[in-house]
Amino acid sequence: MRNMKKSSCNSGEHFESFARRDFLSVMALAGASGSLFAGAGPLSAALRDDDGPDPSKMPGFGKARHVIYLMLSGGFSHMDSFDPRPDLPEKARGQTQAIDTNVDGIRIANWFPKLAGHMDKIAICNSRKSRIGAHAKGQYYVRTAYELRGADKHPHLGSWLSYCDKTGKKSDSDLPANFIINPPSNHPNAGWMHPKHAPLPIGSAREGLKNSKPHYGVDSARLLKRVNLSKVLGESFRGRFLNDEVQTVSPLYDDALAMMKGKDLVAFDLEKEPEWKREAYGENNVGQGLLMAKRLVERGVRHVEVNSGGWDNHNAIYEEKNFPKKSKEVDDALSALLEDLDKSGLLDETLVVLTTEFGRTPVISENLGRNHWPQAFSCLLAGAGVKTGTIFGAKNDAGGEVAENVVSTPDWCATIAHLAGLPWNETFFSPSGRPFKSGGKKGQAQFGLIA
Amino acid sequence: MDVSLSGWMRKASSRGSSGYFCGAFLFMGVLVFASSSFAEDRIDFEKQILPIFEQKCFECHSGGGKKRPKAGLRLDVAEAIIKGTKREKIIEPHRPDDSILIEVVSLPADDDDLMPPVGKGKPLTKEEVGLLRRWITEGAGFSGWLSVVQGKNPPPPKSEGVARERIPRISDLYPKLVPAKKLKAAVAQVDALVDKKLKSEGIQPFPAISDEVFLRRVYLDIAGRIPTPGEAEAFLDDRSRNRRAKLIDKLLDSEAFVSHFYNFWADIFRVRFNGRTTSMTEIFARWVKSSIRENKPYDKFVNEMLSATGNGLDRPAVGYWYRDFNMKVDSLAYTAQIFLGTQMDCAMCHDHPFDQWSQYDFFQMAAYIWDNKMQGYVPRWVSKKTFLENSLRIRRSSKEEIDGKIVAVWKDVPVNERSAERKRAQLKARYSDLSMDEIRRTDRTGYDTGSYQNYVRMWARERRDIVKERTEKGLYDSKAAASIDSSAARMMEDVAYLLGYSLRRGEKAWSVLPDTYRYGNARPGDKVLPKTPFGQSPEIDEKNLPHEVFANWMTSKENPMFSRVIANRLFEHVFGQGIYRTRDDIKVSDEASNPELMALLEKRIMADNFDMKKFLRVLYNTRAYQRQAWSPSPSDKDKSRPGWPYHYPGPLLKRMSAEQIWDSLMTMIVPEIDFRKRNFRFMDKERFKDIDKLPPAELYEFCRDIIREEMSGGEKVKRDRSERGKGSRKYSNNKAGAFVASEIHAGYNQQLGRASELLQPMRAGHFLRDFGQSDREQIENSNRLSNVPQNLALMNGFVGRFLLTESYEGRKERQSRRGAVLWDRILAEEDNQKRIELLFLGVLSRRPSPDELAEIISVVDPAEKKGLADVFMALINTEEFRFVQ
Repeated sequence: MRNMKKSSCNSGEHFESFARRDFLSVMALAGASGSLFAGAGPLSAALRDDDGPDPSKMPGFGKARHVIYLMLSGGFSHMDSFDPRPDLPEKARGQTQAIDTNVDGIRIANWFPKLAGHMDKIAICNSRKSRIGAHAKGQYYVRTAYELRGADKHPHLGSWLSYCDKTGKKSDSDLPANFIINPPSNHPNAGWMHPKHAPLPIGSAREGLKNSKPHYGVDSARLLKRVNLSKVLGESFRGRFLNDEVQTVSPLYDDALAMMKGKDLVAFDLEKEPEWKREAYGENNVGQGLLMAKRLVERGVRHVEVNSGGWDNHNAIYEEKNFPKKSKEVDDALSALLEDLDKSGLLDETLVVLTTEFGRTPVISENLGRNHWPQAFSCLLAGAGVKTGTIFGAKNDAGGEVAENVVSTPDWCATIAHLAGLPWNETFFSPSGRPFKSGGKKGQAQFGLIA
Repeated sequence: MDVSLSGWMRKASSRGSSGYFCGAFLFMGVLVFASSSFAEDRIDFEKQILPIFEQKCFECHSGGGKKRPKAGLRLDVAEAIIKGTKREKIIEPHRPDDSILIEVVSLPADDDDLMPPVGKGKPLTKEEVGLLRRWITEGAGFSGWLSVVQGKNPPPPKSEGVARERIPRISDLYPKLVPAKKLKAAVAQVDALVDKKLKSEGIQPFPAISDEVFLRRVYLDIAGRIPTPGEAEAFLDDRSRNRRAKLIDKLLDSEAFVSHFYNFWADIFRVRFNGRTTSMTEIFARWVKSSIRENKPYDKFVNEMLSATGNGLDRPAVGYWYRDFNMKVDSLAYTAQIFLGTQMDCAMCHDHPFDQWSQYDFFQMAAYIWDNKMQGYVPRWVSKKTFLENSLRIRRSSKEEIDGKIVAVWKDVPVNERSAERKRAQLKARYSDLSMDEIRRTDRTGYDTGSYQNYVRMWARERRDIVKERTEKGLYDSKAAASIDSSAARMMEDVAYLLGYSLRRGEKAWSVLPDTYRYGNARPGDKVLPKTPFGQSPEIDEKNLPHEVFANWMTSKENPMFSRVIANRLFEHVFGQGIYRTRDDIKVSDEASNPELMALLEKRIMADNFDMKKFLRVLYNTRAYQRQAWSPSPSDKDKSRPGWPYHYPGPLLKRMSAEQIWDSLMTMIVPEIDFRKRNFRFMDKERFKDIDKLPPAELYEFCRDIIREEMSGGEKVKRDRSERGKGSRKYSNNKAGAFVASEIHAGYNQQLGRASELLQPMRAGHFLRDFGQSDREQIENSNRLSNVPQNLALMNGFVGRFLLTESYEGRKERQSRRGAVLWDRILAEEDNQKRIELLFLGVLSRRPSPDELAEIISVVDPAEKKGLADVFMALINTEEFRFVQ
C-alpha cells in the first residue's frame, strides 16, 4: 500500500480567494475533510507515489510564477527552426540555412535572426516526440498530457495552475489566474475541474477585453442594479438546477463587474504601450497576443496561452505567405517579449514556452510542403528555472528520429509543470473519483532542461 | 468511352492540336478488379502458390537474407513478382505460355536454365506447374497479399488477415421489435423501452413538464430559437388535446428548423465561408439547407456528398470534399468519423491502439478515394510562375500493372519554364472560343482538366488590368461604368474559381502506404487495393467507379454502423446524451446503455428509409422527452453531468448553443427572422445553369449584366440599407451584411440575422464565438462553456443596444429607424402589468409569478422606459434565459 501524503496543492490556504463565490464548495470540503484520504473527496484529495521523487526538493521547482505559453497550432517544422540541417540535400533541408546565435556552438534556422540574439535565455529541446499525428488529438495531448479518448475531459496546464494556486492571486489583482488569447473553439479548458478554472478567452488581442464599458447612459450603479435584479429573478432557477454549469454563471458576473471596475482593466489596452513597442512585437495575432500576455503577467496572472494557427504547411512551405511570414511573426514577437521581460526582471519568474503538437516531415513533399511528423521535433523553453543557452536531446543524422534523450509529450508537460511549481507526480481525483496527474500518467520532468 | 469524347477528339485533331490532351485520353483503361472474394475454385495465391515459391525458390529469390536475390528477382513481395528480374518480367497475366516463369520451371532436367537449378532443389512437380499455369491463366492475382513478413520480426499484432470481430447489427439481436407504422404506436414503443430500463434500474422517471417549459424547450430544440410572444400565446392559449404534437409538426416543417438543423450539420461538416474565394463552400452550405428543407433521406444526403464529382455550381455536394481539399487521408478519417462513428485518424499513422482497425485497414479504405483530385486549383499564395506552370501542366497517362491488372496512371508533367510563354499562347489559341462545357464533355467521367478555368482566370486578370489602364487614362464616362467593368472582371474570377474547384475522380483504385509504415505485412510505398473495413467489399468495374462503390457501401442498409451512428446521433440531439457513450467514437467493444432501445431506433430509421424528420418527430413526441431535465441532487458529488450510463429519466439540461442564444436575441429584434436570408450572387441556379457553355468574352458580358443589375438595384439582388452607416460599413463590404431585400426587413442593421445566415464561422471575438460557436476546424468543435466575456457581452454588448432600439418616424425616410419588435410591442402596451408580462413572455416564454411581479414592481417603475429596460436586461442575463430546461 502506498504511503499517502497530504497534498501539497489545494491546501486550505487558497480558499479565501474563492470564498466570495464558492462558499458552497468550501462548505462541502469542510464537511468532507475526513474523506481526504479516501481518495475521492468532493473537491479533490491528492496522493503522491512514495517511490517517486519529491519534486519540490528538486532543482527548478516552482521557479516560474508565471507561464507564457505560445502554442503553434498545426505542426511546427523543426527542420526550419531549431534543428536546421544545412548539410543535408535540398530535398531535406529545403530553403533553410543555419545561422550563428549568441551562444557558441548553437545554430538555428535563418528564419529566426532576432531570436538568435536571445539564445542565452533559451533552452532548445531537440528531442520532442509525440505519439499522435492528427491535429485535434495532438493539440489536446500536448496541452493536457493525456490522450483525447472517449468521454473523459482533462484540464490543461493553465487550469492545473489555477486549481493548485495555493499562494492565491496577488492580493491587489482583479484578474483570474488563467487566460487564453486567440482561443481555438473547443479547448483547452478545465476538463474535470470546476469551470472556474477554465481560461478566460480573449478572442483577439487587438480588441482586448470587449464590452468592458456599460451602455451609453448606464452608470455603474444602474448596471449593478440590473445584475442584482437578474440574480434575484434567477434564484428559483438556480435553486432547482444545481448543475455546475448553471451555478458557475452567477459568480462570473461578480468577476466581470470586478474586472470592469478594477484598475487591471488597463492590461487589455494595448494602446497603453508605446507605438514602437507594439510595432516591435508585430501587428499580428502572435505579436499583439504576446504583448498582452506580458501585460497580464505584469499584473499577476499565472498562465497565459497565446495560440497561433497557420503552421500546417502541407503545401509550398517556403512561399512567402507561409513559413517565412509566420516565422518572422514569431521571431519578432518572441524576441521582443524576451527582451521586455528581461529588462523588467520578470524573466526571472516567468517561464516562456514555445510548443506545438508535432513536427513536420524531414523531407519536402511533392506539394513542396512538409507533412505531419510526430516522431521527432523541437520546442523551446526560456526564462525562469530553465537551463539557458543549451540544447537538450538530439535527432539522428537525417533529422527524422530522436537519437538521444527522448522527451515525450507527458515528459514535456511534466517539465513545464515542475518549473511552474505543480506537484506533477501527485495524483488528484476528479469528482467522479478518477485519478489524474498534471504531467500525465507517466510524465517525468526532464532535468536536462532545468537549471 | 462515349460518343462525345471521340467527337471532341476529332474536333481537337482537326484544330491541329493532337498534342497532350489526346495523349491523356488515349488510355481509358478498362478496369477489371479481382475482388477479394474469389470464387471457390480459383487459385488462392497465399495458400496454393506461395508455398511452392517458399519451398522451391526462396533460397535464391527472396529478400531479407544475407545474400542478394539472384538476378534481382524476389518472389516474396507481390510487387517484385510483377516486376520480375532485373531485365525482364517473368509473368504475363492470362498468358502462361508467354510467361518466363512457366518456361523455366518446365524445362528438361539437363537444361542449364532450369529452375530451380540442379543441386539447389528438386524440380517442380507436374501438379505444381499446373497450379502455376492456372494461377497465371486466371490473371496472376494476389488477393490482397502483398509480401511475406520480413526478417525476424514477429507478425504485427494487428495487420491484414487478423480475424475481426464481426460488427453485429443490433437490431438482429432483437427480432421481436417491429417498427410501428403509426406515430402513436412508434412513440409508445420508445417510451416503453425507456420506462422498462428505468424500472429495471430502479430509477424514478422525472415528472412531466408544464406547457410553458415544453413550449420553450421544443422551440429551442427544433426551431433553434425562443418563440415570439405571439407564438407563445398561440400555444399557451391552445386548449386542444394534441396541441403538443401539433406544435412539433409545425416546427419541424418550419423554415426555422432548416436554420437550426443546418447549424447542427455545419458544425459536423466544418462549413467555413468567410474569405474571398469560398463561394464554393457557401454553395455547399446552401445545398445542405435545401436538403434539409426538402427532407432528403439521410442515405441519399450522404451518398450525394460521397459520390459527388465535378464543380460546385453543378454539384454543390462536392463542397464536402472541398473542405479538405487534396488531403485525402484526412478527409477519409473525417468521413469515417462522421458516418461510421469510428475514429480512424490514429490509423493514419499506426494501428489503432484501442480499436480493431489497423493502419492497413485504413489504407485499404483510402484506396477508394485515393484518386480524388481537386482540379484547377490555383491558390492565392502560388507565385506567378507556379501559376503559369499549373495552368500549363500536362496530364499524361501510362499503363501500369498491379496484381496483373492493367490500370491507368495519370502523371502531371510540368511544362518547362522556357517554353511557358509559347505554351500560354497556344493555350489561348486553343481555348479562346471553346467553352468549359465543351472541354468537360470530352472526359467520360465528367471531370475537366482545370486548364480552362485557369485560362478564364488569366483572361479576367488581364481584363482587370485593362480596366485599370482605361481608368487611369480617363477613358470611362463615369465612375459607375468603370466600376461595373472591374466588378465584372472580379466576378468572372469568382466564376472561374467556382467552376475551377472541380473534383475529378480517377479510375485509379489503390492507395500507397506512407513512408512511415512499420508493419511487417507490407512496405512503405506499397500499393494497397480497396477493401472495406467490414462487410462485403463490392466489386469495382468500369461502370462502378471506386468512389461510387464506396458511397454505396457506406450508405447501404447492410452497413450496420451507418444506421447506428445516425440513430444514436439524432437521439443525442434530442435527449442530450446518446445511447452510446460517444457519438463518433463507437468501438466494436462498446455497449449501448439500452441495447433494446438502440435496436428499435436502428430499425425505425431504416424502416422509414432514413427519413430524419420522421425519426425526430417520434422522439419529440415521447413522454421521455417531455419530462423535467436532469439536475443533480445536493448530495451528488459530481454536478457536472449525470454519470454513464444514463437511462433518460428526462433529457439533459443544456446551455443554449451559441447559435440558439444569438437567434433568440434576434427573434426579439427582427420581425420574421426565419425569413431573413443571406444574399448570394450564385443563388439563382437556373440563371447560372449554362454558364460553362460561354466562351470567356461572352462570360464577361454575362457578368457585366449581372453587376449592372445589382448596381441599378434590380429586384432580386437589391441590398437593404443599413441603419447605422458607421457600424455596418465593415460588413457591407464583405458578404456578411448582405441579406436579400424584403419589405419587412428593410431598415434593420446588416449584422442582424440568424447565425445560419451570417458568415461561417463568425470572426473570433464575435458574440457567437464568445458563446462557443465552432471555429469549424474540427468536427463538432462548438462548446457550451461559460466565461466572463459572455457575461460582458450580455450586459454591455451591442446586441443589448439593438434590443432597446425604438422605432422612429423621421420626417424623411432616411431618418426613420426600425425598432426591435419586442421592445416596440412592449412600449405600445399601456398597462404596466401587461408590459412586464409581455417582457417575460418575450424573453423567458412564460408569464411572471405573482412574487416576481411584486419583486419587480418594488425595484422599478414599469411605467418608465428606464425601469423597463433594466428589467429587460436583467431577464436577458438570468440563467433561465441561457439554459434549455
